[in-house]
Amino acid sequence: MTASPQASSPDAHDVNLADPTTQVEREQRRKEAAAALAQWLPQHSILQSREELGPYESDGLTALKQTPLLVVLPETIEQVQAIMRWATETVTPVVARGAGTGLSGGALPHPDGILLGLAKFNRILELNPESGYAVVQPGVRNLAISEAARPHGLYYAPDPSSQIACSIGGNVAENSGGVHCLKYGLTVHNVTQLKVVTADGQLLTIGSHAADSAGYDLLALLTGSEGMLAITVEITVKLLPVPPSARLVMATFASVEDAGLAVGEVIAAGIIPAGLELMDNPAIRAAEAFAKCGYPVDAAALLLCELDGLDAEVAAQIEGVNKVFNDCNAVSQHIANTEEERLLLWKGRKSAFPAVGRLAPDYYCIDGTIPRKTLPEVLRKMDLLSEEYGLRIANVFHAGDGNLHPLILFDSNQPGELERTEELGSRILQLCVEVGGTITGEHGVGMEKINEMCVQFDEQTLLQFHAIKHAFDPLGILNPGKAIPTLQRCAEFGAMHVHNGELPFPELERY
Amino acid sequence: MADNIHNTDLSSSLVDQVKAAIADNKAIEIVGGGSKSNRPDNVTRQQSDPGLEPAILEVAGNCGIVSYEPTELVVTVRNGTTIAELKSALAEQGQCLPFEPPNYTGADTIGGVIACGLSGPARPYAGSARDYVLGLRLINGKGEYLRFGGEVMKNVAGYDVSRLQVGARGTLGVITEISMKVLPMPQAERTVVRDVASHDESIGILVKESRKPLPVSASACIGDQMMVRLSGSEAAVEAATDDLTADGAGTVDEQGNLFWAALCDQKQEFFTGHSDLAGKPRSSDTPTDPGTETLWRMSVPDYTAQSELADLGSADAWLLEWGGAQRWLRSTSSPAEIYQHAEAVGGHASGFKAQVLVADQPLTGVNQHLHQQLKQAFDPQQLFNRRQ
Ligand SMILES: Cc1cc2nc3c(=O)[nH]c(=O)nc-3n(C[C@H](O)[C@H](O)[C@H](O)COP(=O)(O)OP(=O)(O)OC[C@H]3O[C@@H](n4cnc5c(N)ncnc54)[C@H](O)[C@@H]3O)c2cc1C
Ligand SMILES: Cc1cc2nc3c(=O)[nH]c(=O)nc-3n(C[C@H](O)[C@H](O)[C@H](O)COP(=O)(O)OP(=O)(O)OC[C@H]3O[C@@H](n4cnc5c(N)ncnc54)[C@H](O)[C@@H]3O)c2cc1C
Repeated sequence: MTASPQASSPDAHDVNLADPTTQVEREQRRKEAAAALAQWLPQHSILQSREELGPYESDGLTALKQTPLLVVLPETIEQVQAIMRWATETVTPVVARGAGTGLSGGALPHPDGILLGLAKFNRILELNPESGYAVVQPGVRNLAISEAARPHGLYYAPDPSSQIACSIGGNVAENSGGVHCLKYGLTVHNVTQLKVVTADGQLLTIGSHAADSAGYDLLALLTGSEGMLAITVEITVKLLPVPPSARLVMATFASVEDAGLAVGEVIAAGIIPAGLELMDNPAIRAAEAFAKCGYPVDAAALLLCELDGLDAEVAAQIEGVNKVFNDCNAVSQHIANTEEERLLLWKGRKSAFPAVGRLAPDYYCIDGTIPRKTLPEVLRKMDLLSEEYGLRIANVFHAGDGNLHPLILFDSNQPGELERTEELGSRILQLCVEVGGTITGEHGVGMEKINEMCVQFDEQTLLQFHAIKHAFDPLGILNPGKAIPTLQRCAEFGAMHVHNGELPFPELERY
Repeated sequence: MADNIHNTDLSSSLVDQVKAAIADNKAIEIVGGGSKSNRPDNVTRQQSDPGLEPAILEVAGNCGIVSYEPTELVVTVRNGTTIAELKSALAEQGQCLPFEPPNYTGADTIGGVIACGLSGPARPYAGSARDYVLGLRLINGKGEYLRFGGEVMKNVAGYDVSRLQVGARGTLGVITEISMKVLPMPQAERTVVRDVASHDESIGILVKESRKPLPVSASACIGDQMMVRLSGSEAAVEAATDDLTADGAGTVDEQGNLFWAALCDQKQEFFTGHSDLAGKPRSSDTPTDPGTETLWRMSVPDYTAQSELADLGSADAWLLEWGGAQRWLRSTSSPAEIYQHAEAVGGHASGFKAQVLVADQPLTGVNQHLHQQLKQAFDPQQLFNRRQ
């Protein structure tokens, strides 16, 4: 993602094709579509003026912008069904949007399509503390679920750093993770039922309140499908009991490698922390400056290790972790003394993106996942790449899960720097694939990583993905052009790389 | 890694056999290890196409551990690796598959267990088979050999085809290799037994307990006894045992681990004590045969009151586990009646005779249509496991 603290970066790629004839036709279609949809939607649910459409031009990946034909903000499931039936009849692209915090351009509008915003689906429909679940509409904010459950001693476990803003519908579409996913799993492990509207407007319940359902595991398939297969209109999530005790160990190390090693050793010792996060020095400095949370700014690397459970259990685990960190040459160790301090130390981590954002006019967030053991190698190679491109990188890292978030610092006002940044990002992702990892751990492919998909998957696999898409959406109206590249696009991407010089990874299968 | 594990890579031969079947326009029945439930002599043939004998694709020979690094918490195995071998290789490193894959025959393969989506007693607390799958390799119905997911914990590139295979019963392709997340074995385990007046009382207790932050890792109710297993650190298990026995109604069962192992592998008396269930099925057996019982697995919301299902069978015809979410029933009721009850409480049911799946809750409407479309997407010629 590129997030720019300044409102707009001038040289952001506008994907609009500014062909004047198309523009005229488009204005005409805009009017027609608005009129057609007014049959089922109230006027205030249809946005069509330039000013109204502006805020929906991009998601969290602000480098990509596009004006949709219309934005529609339905309020009922029936309205969503009517929109999809109309879209099927008219073969109009539909892009779903939750809160628009996505970092891969997944909710980037389509110039000839409508943007279907689910913001008005913002109610918690049922919260059942006895049976430990909540039924919510897709536009409900992630944190709002835990806030509502809290008085009952329960919470919703996946906690993306964006949890104050992002929607649960977006979480399902991206299979979002958070700092507590190491122990409590991703969205896919914490959602039990979805109601979805299909591309042709039919309402379908997927999953159940039972442990499993007859037939294929469509719940797993739909989770993380980036709005490509159906529109989610209702979600049942699991609520877990709040652990009676949660304690946080902050440890510093003389090098990122030492810290990386310590992560593996904690796990080897049979301890699964609730969260295990790593930051390098630039990230520590940025977070400290931003959140004033008490991080030692001279540390080369910092680990935040949270342990939760029953009091006695946590005490025993803290002892275990302290010993492991000592054996791994920790420079210092500190256990948060109070609940306030624990939350403050987490706040530093959770605000790391915006904090790093203050170090430079812009930053670009990478989301590769690697086998943990390759961390030292990957960090070394990233250093070399950083030098090669003359761009600084700060690292925050869901270390327990092997999910890297290198943040590339740049200035989009410098000609060519955005392009260089994107190329560096792409090189890092290819490095992740090379060591046996993946191009995205939690932010999704969206528009952003569409080229890198060609590196990760061969032609037959991509065709299998397209076949799945076709099974759900034969007309290809849901979020067209995202998540899975066409073979033609891959051929062009491959050609470009060959043209630039040698093939990046000759040992990888390609075509 | 244990030296005694068989290690054979037959994947290219399996791909060739699938391609040959495509060329010959022949259907394929994928057969794994132990149960041999799909062998024609063991299968109730459909009357419709008696002439069409499918080719049997024996997959269990493709076996062995491909890679296992304990600190990465990931193991990658070939499909034919037996559950017994896999469990012992992990145990050597103090690790386990927390979903407790069942090992019904002793020769069950991990490929079969994943294809059937089977999980043991820990399922509601530790997660299911699909929750632990990180990636797999699949031969689809076009004879293409594909790789999905990977060996990392988090991966959202492309659709989650790996987890889609779990429970697909081989209808979407042949699984040849599976990467799974593993975890350290719990330090301590203890079983608490208490008497209950009714199944509903036990459900009430279990539902309440599972909203508490206790390290419950299994639960069951048979007759007037309820069993709860606690797993975790010594300290946590100790504290939770105190909590569960505080009212004087519960006692610790020192032999508890034997009970859970038997329950997991269906060696418990409820399953083995009835010749109808344990014996070899007669070729004419169907779920509606009068006089012979079918073993029904009902998967329902854990909070479902047992009284809502009571007219399907008397109390001793039931075994409840998974905190009430999985209920076994021995019954001669018609499948239609079972399905209707399951659906009414928001669940589904499948029926077994002599360990062979003979009946499964039908799909309807859009759901059925999407299933057909997905089958088409993986297996356009309807090559695999037509019987399903
Ligand atoms: C500062 C910051 C920190 C972040 N930290 C994390 C993190 O820790 N972990 C993490 O996983 N992500 C993180 N993200 C990324 C982002 O917040 C998540 O991907 C989130 O789930 C997106 O939710 P949203 O409601 O904003 O979705 P949007 O951005 O609106 O949409 C995301 C995708 O979901 C689709 N979609 C949305 N709603 C629906 C629906 N109802 N039906 C079908 N498709 C739908 C859209 O089409 C799009 O493809 C972070 C983002 C920011 C800006
Ligand atoms: C006592 C007992 C109880 C049982 N209870 C149940 C039960 O509750 N629920 C249940 O579903 N089954 C049950 N079974 C049957 C179950 O299918 C197998 O015992 C179990 O899956 C072990 O797998 P296997 O290696 O023997 O595979 P098989 O029995 O050979 O195959 C099982 C299914 O998986 C498919 N399959 C096997 N390997 C692969 C592969 N590599 N790729 C794709 N598909 C594959 C087969 O085509 C078949 O559909 C029971 C069996 C016994 C003996």
